[in-house]
Amino acid sequence: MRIEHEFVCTLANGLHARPASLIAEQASRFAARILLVRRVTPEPPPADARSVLSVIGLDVRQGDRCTIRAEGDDARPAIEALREVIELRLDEAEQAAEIESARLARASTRVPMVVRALGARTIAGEALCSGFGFGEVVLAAGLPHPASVASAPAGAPESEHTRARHAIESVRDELLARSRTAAAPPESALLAAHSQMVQDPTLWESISAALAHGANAPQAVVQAAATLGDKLRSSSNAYIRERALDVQDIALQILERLLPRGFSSVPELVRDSIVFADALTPNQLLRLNRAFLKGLVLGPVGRTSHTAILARGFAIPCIINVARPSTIASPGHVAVVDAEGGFVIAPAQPDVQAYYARLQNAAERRAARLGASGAETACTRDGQRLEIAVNASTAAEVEAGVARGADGVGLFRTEFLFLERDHAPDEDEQFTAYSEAIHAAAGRPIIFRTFDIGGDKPAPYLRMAHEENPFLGCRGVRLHMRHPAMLDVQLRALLRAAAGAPAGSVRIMAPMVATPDEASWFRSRVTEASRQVREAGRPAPGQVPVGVMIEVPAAVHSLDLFAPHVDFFSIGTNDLCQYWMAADRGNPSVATLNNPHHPTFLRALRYVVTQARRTGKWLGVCGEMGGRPQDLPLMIALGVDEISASGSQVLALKHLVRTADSQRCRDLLDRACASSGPGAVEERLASGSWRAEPAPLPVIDPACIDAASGATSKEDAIARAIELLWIAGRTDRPRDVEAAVWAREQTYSTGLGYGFAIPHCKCDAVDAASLVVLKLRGEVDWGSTDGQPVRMVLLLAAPIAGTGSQQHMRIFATLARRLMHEEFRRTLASLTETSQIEAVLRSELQLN
Amino acid sequence: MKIVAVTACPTGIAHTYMAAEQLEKTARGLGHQLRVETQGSMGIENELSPEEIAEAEVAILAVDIEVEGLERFDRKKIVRVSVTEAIKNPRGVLAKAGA
Repeated sequence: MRIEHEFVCTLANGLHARPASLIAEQASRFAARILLVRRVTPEPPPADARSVLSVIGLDVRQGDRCTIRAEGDDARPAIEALREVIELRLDEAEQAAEIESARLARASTRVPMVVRALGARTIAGEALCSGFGFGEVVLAAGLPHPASVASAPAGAPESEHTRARHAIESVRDELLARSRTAAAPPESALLAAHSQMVQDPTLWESISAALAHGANAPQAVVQAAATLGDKLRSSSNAYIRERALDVQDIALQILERLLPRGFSSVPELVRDSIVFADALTPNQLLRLNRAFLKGLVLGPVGRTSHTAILARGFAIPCIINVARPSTIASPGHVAVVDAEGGFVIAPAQPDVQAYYARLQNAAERRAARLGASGAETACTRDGQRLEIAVNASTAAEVEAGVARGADGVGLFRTEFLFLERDHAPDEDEQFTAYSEAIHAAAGRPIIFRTFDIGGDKPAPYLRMAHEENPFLGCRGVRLHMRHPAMLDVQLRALLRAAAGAPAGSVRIMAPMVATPDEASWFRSRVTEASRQVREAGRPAPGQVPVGVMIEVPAAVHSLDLFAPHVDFFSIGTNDLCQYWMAADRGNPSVATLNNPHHPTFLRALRYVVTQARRTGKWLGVCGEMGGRPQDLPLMIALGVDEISASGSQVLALKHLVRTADSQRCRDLLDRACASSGPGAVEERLASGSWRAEPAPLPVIDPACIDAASGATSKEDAIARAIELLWIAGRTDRPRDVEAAVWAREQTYSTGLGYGFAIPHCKCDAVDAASLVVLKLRGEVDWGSTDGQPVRMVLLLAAPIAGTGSQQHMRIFATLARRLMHEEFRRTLASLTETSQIEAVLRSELQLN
Repeated sequence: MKIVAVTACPTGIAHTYMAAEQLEKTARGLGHQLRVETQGSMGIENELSPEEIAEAEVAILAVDIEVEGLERFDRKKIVRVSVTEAIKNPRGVLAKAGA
C-alpha cells in the first residue's frame, strides 16, 4: 500500500532539529518505508523520514511544499500519525525558537570606565546571559584532526565495523540512562534528542562509507562528523547550521569510547574556572563541573543552539561569537567574563580581579538586602495579600523556587514522570520522586496534579486510540477513569509521601474536570487509596486536601455543585482560555482569539472567582496568566488566594505586588471587562495605572555613606559610589547610571575645588533620588578647577520623574548652595563616622 | 549697585545653585544688591520681575545652556560668563559687571 500526504511547511525556521526529531520519532514506530519529499525545482533526493539528520539535511524552508510518502502494510496509520505531528506538534517547537530569538536584542559591548582606567585588555563578544564571573582559564578541545587519531592501524574492516557499532551503542545507552535521571528540560530533552541522533541511519552510513575506504574506527567517526557537519553548516538556515555542534558532540562521545587512552573531551575543573572553547558541545557543557564553572567564552554559537539554551538554563555568564577563543588565553591565567558589558578580560591583572571580587561581594550584599524582605508573603500597598507559588515538575525546581522566595508550589506537574518512556513508573519510583519534591518544599503547601496525559502529551504505553481532536478527547480525569489502577498507584505514592509532611501541606488536584460526578469519583479514589495505604501497614496522612482544576467551561457554572466534593479550586487559564474561545492554542492562525485578554474571558474569570468565593473554598491560578508580570494587576483585582509562576519570576512578582494598589487594580479590571477588545485591555495594563503611589525613599540613607572609602581613582570612586546605590536597591542598572554620570563628567569636571567632588546624573536607571557620600582614606585627582585632589565625593543621582521629585531636587540644590560655604565643608571634612555624616547632612539640609 | 543674574547648568542639579550662591554671597559681602534667577531641574525659580530688571544696572548671565527669557535683557548691559567661572571666581565676575 502506498499513501501520500501533502503539506506546506509553515515553520519560520523550516524543519530544523526539533521538528525533524518529532517526525523521525513518529516515523520509526511504523514498519512502512516513509520518505519525505521536498517539492522544489530541482527536486532534491527524498529524505528517510526515520533519520533526523536526513530530514534536517533536506533543508525544508518556510512555505515549501512537501509530500510524505509511506509504502507498506501500515502505511495508512503511519500517514495519519505523521499528519497529526505535522499539523499539531511542530508549531510548539517553533514558538520555543521564537522566544529565543526575541532575547537576541541586547548585545552591545560596554566596558565600564573603571575597567578601562585599569588598562585591562578587553575582548569584545556578545553576551548570552547576564552576570559576571572570574576564574582560571581552562581550554576545552574540539574534534581532533583525523591525522591525530590515525596512529592506531586499521584492523580488519569487519572488526573496525564492530568496534564502531559497539561504541555507538554504548553512547546511546549512556545517553538514555542519563536522560532518565536528568533533572528537567532542557537537559533531559537534549539527552533524549541526542540518544536518537546517535542512532541516526545517515550517521551510520557515513561512518560505514569511511570504513569501507580503509579508515580505522576513530578516523571514520571524525570523517563522518566532519562531512555531516559541513553539510549542516552549509544550510541556508541558522538553526540547522547550529546542529553541526550536536553532530560534533555525538562524535566526541563515540571517540571517547574508541580512544580509551586518556582521551577526554571534557576538562576537569578543580577550582573556579572560565572555560574557553572555539566550539563547546552541549554534552561537554553538561559534563563540566558546574560548581566551578564561573563563565564561558565561546566562538560562533547561535542563540538557539543547544549549548546556548543550556548555558542560559544554568545561568552561566557567557560571551559568544568571540574569534578563536582557544588562542586568546593561556591555561593558568585568570580571566573575567563580563556578560553585563559583553566582553572578556584575559589575562586579568590582580587589580582587575580585585574589582570583580568587590563587585561579587556587592552582588551578594544586594541579594541579602533585597532577599530579606523579598521572600516574605507579598501584600499590596493597601494590604491585600497574594501568595506567589512556583510551578514545577521536579524536586530541583521546587528547591530553586523555594530558595527564590516561593510561598509554595501551586502546580507540581506529575506527568513528566510518565512521558518519554515505555512503561508507567511504579509506586516506589513515584513515592521517591514525590518525597523529594515534598522535602524540597520544606513544609510549604504543594499541589500535586495527577498525571495530565493526553491532548498534547501522549504516553505510548497507554495505547491511546487515535483521536481526531485530542484536546477534546480522553485526557486528564477522563483518562484516570479509563485507567483507574494507574491512578491508584499514583495516589498511594502521593499519600505515602505526604505522611511525613505537615498536615494539609500536600494537596492533590485532578485535571480536566467537567462534571461534579468526576470530582466525586476522584475524591472516592483518594479515600480508597488512603485506605489501601493504611491496610498495607504504612503511615498515611490524616488530611489531604483534594481539589480540581477549573479549565473546562462546563465546570465554570457549577462550582457550587463541586463544592461538597472538593477542598479547593485552581484555575488553569491556558486550557480554559482555549476552550472558552474555541481556539486551539497550538494553531497560529487562531492565535489572536487565543488571548486571555479578551473581555469575555476576563468576565469568565471574574465569574469563577465570585462563584468560588460563595463556596468559601481556597482558589488559586496555575496557568501561564498567573505567572506573567504583565497580568498581575488582573490577578490582584480578581482577588485569588494564590498565583503560581516559574521560579525565575517569583521575586519579581512579589516586588510588583508590593507596588500595587488593589482598588486601582479592581478599577482596571472593571474597565478591562467593559473594553472593546484585548488591545484596549493590554493598553490599560501597560499604562501602570494600577500602581500605588511609590513609598518615598529618603534621599539620605546610611547604606549610601562610606566614611572610609578605599577608592584609588576618580573612575574607582564613581564605580564604588554607584555600587552603594545598587546594594541599597536604588538602581537595577548600575552600568547605565555609570554611563550617565560619565556623560555629565565629559561636559566639565564636577571637581568643586577644596577637595570636594559632586558627580551627578539624572537618568531613568535611578529609582529614587539619592545622595551617596564617600569620604576617601586617600585622595584622587578629579581635574578640579583649583588643581587640588579630591578627598570627599558626593554623588547626586536623580530619577527622571516621580513623586516628590521637586522636593528631592530642592534638597540637592540646598546641598549645592551649602557647599559654597567654607564652614560647612570644613565640618563635613572633619567627620569620621557614618552616623555623624548622616546627622550633619540631615540637619544642614533641614531633613529632620 | 543693583544687579540681576541668571544661572543655568547642563543637568540643573548642582552647579546652577552653587553659582547662584557664590554670586549672592560675594555681592552681599561687597555691599551690592544682587538678585539671582535659577533655571535648573526645578524650572525657573526666583524669577526676576520686569521692575527688578528695569532697576538693575547690569545683568550677569552665568549660563552653559540656552536659557528662557533672554529678550528681557535686550536693552541691558550684559555680562556673560560660564557657570564654572561664577563658582570659581565670583569676585572677578562682579568686577566685569563694574561692581
